[in-house]
Amino acid sequence: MSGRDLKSIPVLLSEHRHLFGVITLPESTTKDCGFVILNAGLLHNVGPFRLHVRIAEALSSMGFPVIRIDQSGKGESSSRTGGSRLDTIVLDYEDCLRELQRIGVDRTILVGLCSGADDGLVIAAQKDSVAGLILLDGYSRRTWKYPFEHYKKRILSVNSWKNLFRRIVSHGTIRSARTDTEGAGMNIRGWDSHKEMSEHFAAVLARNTKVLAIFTSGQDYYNKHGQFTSCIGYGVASGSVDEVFFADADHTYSVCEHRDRLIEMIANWARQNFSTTA
Amino acid sequence: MMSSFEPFFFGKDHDLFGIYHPSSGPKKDHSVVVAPPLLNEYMRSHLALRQISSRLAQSGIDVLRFDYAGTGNSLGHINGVSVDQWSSNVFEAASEVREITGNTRTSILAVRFAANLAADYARIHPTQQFVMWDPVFGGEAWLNSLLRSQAKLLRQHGSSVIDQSCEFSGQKLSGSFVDELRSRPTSTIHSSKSFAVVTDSFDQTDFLIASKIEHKRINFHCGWEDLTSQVLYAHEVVDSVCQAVI
Repeated sequence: MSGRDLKSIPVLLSEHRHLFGVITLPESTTKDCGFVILNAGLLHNVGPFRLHVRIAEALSSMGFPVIRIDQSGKGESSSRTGGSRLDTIVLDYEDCLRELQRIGVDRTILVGLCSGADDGLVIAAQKDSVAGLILLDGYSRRTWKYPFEHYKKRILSVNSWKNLFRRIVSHGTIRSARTDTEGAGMNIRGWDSHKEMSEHFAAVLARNTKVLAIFTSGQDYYNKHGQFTSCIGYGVASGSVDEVFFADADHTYSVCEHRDRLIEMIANWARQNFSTTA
Repeated sequence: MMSSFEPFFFGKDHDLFGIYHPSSGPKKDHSVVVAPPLLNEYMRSHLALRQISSRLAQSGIDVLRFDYAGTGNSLGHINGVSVDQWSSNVFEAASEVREITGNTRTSILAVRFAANLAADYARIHPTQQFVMWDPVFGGEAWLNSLLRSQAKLLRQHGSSVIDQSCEFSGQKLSGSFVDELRSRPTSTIHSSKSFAVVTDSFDQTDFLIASKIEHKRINFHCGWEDLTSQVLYAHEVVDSVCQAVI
């Protein structure tokens, strides 16, 4: 479906109209949930390689209304004055929810990549209205299996050996062949402690919020399917969590085919979990 | 904290997304159209263009930023547009800001390949002001730049998942679009009031000198051909562009 067939409306939300978003409406809203797509890091609402626009179009063509938002201080939106960062994240969400309620939708599914995933988790842990959560390279932590998988992949990779050889030739030492991932900080996104992050997930899953967690190879803390569910320790038995390791893709889905596959995964998950009509 | 801009759709097909920043300082009879770069370059420079727009508006200039058809928040998809259409979008944006403001003076800020797109407008409006940031004047030159960034992506992902015939800078472009780009002539801005702000990532200084375009070099690396998603914090560029426009 072309973007021309859907109705895209730029909106300024919040009491002070400081919060910019684009709402994409289907011809007729057939679902009782709407999607809210949060900023991917510091990129504006369009998303990396226009990913957010394409996700919005795909979901909207399935009958879901979708808001792509620039959270306070990002993209087109100015900052909120006062309040903590966490307060701001939740207040921004409440403004989006009010906009969706105007068209009769009062449950949401949040989509976030990178810091957007972290913000989505914070919101979902606090708000009953969040029925689903799509985390793209969201929180996980290295388990004891992580280094085994990391070195197994490197040993079996022809490119790793080529790079090692190249660096030894150019620098005369094996030391310089260390990867950027080794020893890299795992908490560059300001995550809370693992205990607190687990509590966020516990709160989310306790109210049966559905979670789709997709990880790429574009981060340095996850490298094997199952790592996320074993790390958070909830939801597996209840079937609330779907975990995918999309190993071919990079963090911002810079390859067209990878974006197509991601959108298909999201659409299928939405179809399976949110097929009820309004 | 109150919004100081208005988002809207405009153009003859009502498919172009624009953000209008009305002047908030002592009003001047002056509008600026921000013609952004394209593809990954746009994603990375969005913050800087927003900062430029806000700064110009505060100085009394009315500013319209827009997204070309099939890009950003504008409607359509990139594989359904043409280079000529993007060039026409510059005319539509200039016409729109004139209609909104009634100002008689319209400047164009053109970033990267937008310098080529704006050249058509400059031929018809040679007395207007054109400010450029790391301009790319030719279709072939920009295509080669896209190919170089694509080569980096290919090294990372391999050729099996990337359609090398039509995928550039993370987007699929139609064959006719690529042909159109390749055949698009290298055009300079024929205006007596043209100025370029260039960074360490700019390599067409000889062309600027030959075209008698005054320029200022900033010690800053934009890395236009790096296929990263890192936002450019180009404060010095923002300052220099604003000074050049004002």
